[in-house]
Amino acid sequence: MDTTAVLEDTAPTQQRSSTTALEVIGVTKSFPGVRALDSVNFDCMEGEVHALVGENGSGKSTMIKAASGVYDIDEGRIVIGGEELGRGGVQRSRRLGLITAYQDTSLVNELTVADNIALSFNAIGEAKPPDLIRYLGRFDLPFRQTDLVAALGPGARQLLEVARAMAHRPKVLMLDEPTAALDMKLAEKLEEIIRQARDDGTAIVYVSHRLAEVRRLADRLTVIRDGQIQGTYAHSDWAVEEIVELMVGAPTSLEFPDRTLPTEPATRLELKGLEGQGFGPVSLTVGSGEIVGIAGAEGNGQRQLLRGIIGMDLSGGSVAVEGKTLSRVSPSSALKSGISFQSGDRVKESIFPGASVLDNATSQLGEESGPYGTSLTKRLLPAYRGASKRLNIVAASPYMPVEGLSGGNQQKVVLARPWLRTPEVLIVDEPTQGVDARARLDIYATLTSAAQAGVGVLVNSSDSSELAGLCDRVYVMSRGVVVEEIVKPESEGQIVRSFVAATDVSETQVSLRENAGLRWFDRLAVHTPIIVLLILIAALALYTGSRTPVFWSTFNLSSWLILTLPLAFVALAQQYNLISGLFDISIGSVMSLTVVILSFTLPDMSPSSLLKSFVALAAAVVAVGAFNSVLIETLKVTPIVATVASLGVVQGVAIWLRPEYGGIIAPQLNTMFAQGIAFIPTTFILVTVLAVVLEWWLYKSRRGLALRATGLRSDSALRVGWRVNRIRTGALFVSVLGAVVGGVVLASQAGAGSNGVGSTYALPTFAAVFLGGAVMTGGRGSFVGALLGALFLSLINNAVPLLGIQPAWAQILNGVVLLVAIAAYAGLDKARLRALRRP
Amino acid sequence: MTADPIAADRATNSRGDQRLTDLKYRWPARYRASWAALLLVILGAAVVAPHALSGDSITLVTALAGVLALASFGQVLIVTTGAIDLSISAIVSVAAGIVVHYADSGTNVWLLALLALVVCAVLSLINGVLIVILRLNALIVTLATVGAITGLIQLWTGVALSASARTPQPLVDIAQAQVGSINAVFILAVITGAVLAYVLNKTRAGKSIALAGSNPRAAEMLGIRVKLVHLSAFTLAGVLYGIAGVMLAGYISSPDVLSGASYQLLAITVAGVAGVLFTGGPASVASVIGSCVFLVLLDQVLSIKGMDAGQRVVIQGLVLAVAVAAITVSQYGAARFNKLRPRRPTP
Repeated sequence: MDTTAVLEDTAPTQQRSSTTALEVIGVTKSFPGVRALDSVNFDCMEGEVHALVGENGSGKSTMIKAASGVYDIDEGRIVIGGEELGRGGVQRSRRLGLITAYQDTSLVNELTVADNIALSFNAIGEAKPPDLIRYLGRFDLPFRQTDLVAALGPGARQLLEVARAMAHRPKVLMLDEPTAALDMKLAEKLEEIIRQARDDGTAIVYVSHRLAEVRRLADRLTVIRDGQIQGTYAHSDWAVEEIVELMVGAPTSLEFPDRTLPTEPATRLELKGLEGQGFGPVSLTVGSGEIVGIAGAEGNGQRQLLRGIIGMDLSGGSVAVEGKTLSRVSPSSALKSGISFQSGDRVKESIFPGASVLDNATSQLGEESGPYGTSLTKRLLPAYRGASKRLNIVAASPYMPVEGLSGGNQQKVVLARPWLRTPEVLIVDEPTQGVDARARLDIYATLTSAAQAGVGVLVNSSDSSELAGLCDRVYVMSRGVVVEEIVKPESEGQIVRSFVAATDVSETQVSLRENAGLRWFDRLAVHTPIIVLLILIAALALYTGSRTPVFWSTFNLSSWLILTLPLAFVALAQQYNLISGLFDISIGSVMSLTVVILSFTLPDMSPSSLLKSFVALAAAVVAVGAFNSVLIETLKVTPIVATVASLGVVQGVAIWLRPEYGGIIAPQLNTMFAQGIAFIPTTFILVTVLAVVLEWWLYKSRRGLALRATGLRSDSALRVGWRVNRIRTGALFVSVLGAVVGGVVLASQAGAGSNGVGSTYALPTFAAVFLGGAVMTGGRGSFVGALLGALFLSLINNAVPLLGIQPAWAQILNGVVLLVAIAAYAGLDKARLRALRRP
Repeated sequence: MTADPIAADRATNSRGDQRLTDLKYRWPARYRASWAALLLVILGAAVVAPHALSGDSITLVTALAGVLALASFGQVLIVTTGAIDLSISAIVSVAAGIVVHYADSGTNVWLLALLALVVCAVLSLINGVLIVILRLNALIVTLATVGAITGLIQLWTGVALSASARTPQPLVDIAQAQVGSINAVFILAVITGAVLAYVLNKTRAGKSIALAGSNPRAAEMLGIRVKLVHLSAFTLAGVLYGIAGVMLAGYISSPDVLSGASYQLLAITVAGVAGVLFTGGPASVASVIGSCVFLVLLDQVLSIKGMDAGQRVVIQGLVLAVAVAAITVSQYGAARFNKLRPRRPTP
């Protein structure tokens, strides 16, 4: 608390103890190119509501994430309830009693309300309070515990996030824009609950845009801008004007270029009733030579509107350029008709990392690049140099990769595109986000000169000062629609006031969608594979049996089950790995290595041989698991490529140890696995039990829930305190362990060492797992399904020779079955998503 | 992304320095790595196994590297789009299978070769449709198609491909021809590579492949027709696999249905060593050739030094691990080691 308006404690409205619950002391946090927090001091007492306000990108969220342990800080200290957070991460922060409710929530949408609540308590090893249901009852939550979060509207999700955080009865509660998606009635209800929590002694850090709300709730208020604290005020000691000024900074020192305003501009862009996901209907116009702004508090549909103009997630309305309505709105048709869209979300939407500055800048250049569709450096280079000079792009070389530039220069490279291919309409989203002051001026000059040349410019920005400085008109958006049009805005404050006021508009946002269909889909996603597989197995078995009675012989049935065993073990382990969102293609080679190892260590079943085998195999699990974990979790190599590398190494070791077939494996091992009840081997019964137990574990236990959450949305799992890295590393080890166990069974069947015996297992393993309902994106799957998948595939292998079909068919069927399975389940998933999106 | 603080100073460099800087960026470390590795192996070979650099050995190395390069061009093209192809081995085998299977029937050899290329293009396009249009995972799709295609070609041609199991003589003549000690397939690979490099770097359509791979969402929003571009890349990759398969059949003269099998992992290793970004994005065709020669020559030297197949495979696996780890680390810098690196919240 360093500058303008540090005030002594003035008459608090509530009785308050003087214990400090949260202290942020001299905290600095930098991201490449930005200093998000600069020696920030902040504290919150027990039993007070301390509001933190600031513009978008001022550092509020970073401070919240630093205190929550999501970010490690560069300098300073964070003390929660008298104890240092240190580098303990989210788990320690939460255990110390600091719970955060995020604006974009830390919920896993694919799980139910009850599961999400459980996930949060489990992560820090707390039991759910016995009066949880009664406690949540106070919130009048408009949904049931069994509802899927994905089926809730945005308001309901936000309410759930807040309610869940409060159910922890934390010492420190951080609320990030808790009312942004709530209507008036619910917001009031929430205010009341927050007051009650405060009176119970909770320290509450309250981040909000709505100053009216802050005035009602806050005991103190702190303003943050550009990562620095601007001042702290006591409850009634501030005027909205003053705060807005502090939020936006002293009257701006940046100069905006002068330009002559167009008189009676011709309409360049006209939107009529444009509607899409998260916005609409919106109608607006942009004239030639005009710069038109879009303003609003974050998340009110501005981004979606801009993307809707080029046809992304668009559902209705029309776009006309120069009076001509586009028949089909798509990015390429928009570009052709003269709309140039450039996004300020450079990483996601506008730069091509790995490609050179030159190629990035000239990526939209057409005929000028060269004749006959060529793109010649001798043409591109002068064009780029012109743009580079005009826009002041500072790059060591036109050939350097674009991600090597500073944010400001990257943005100028992005804006070189419309400069090189003059459009009718230029749409720019966040032109100066993460851009330094010098580059800002260059960007403003570019936009101004485009307008001067007759281009219609539409700008969305969360920085209201630049809208005030640049724009002839500003449309203010709230909750997806334009609520105000400001002609010739005079000051930034005028714009900010308009949306600070606008966000108190009452409109019902909490809605529970009709979700019966959705729940049906979701159940289907887990159980369909099991039902489908049972039907397939029965059909194929009956058909084969009807053609050749040998199929039903005890011997054949027994050998079918025995052949299933190795596949079943590997498939169960791989299912586990896939649920955590990972992938391991080296399993086949690990099986081969296991067989090779046993061909050295297990010539008989003597205790010493068994011990030797056990030690050697354990060493293999540790070595391969560690190799994979280092590459994937530490070095962040994509799992596919990393495990291709380990596949090579492991396969090589197997060939090296056993270049040729040889080395006897104790035949008793085979007898051991073959023994059983009637035609069912004991080991098969074991693997079935294992599958059922794992299934139960996955859907009923705490760690099973955490595993699914990690696969579904690792960010959320991380935010509630799960150590996602450890969970994923564990999964990689499980995957290797499964392959080794499968390899042991395979060894009993092979009888001797062979270095390639496991290589044919990779394809059927993945086929089995995906037949069992796994998805590549993680989080879903069934162990019983994987076991049935393995049974079905080995049934194909068993039936093919019995039916007198060529063995190649078994391979083809494996492939086709896998393709059909993933295509069908992907189709089911798409249908599910569509059901979700339906309003 | 790191800001380059030196960038501003460098901008005012003299012209000669500027040329050097440009060159450094046109040939970044990830492209130079395979050439440096090749140089090391050549030097090492000169010392420990000079025999590896003799005429006969060079012929063998260039022939194998040539086929590998042709196949790898296809893989690299697909990796450039951000996908990966495990069905490469099956498709290469199909091309070899077709030219051998119909050789006895007396069909025109060139028609056969053309048929092989068309079939391969179609097979790869099928992968493309499953991956790009149905949005299925590339790895799973190609894992499935590698099995299905291998099975199908066995049914179609039989394991031995034909009664004589011999590649038509004209193809053998071409694939075993030599210019000095250099095998003709290698020369074909270099020419193909030059054409491919021109298309990828000097045409707008070719460039859009790398752009659409580097950031598909940005490419789409900037008006590139991403699906069309990706499908074309898959088709072109199929043609390249076809050329590789036909040349493979020619060089080994009596291939069987599994002749292409080793290319499945080898082509991925080539891409890794050549500095190709597995997340999609531009790649250097020249480095792919360097990487192929490096891997084949390394194998040759090691086998001359008496290493058995297993040890050589281990080394190949380690080379891939080191290469991709080095590229990932150099690409993202030390920030990647920070487990809590800032992540944009997903909306």
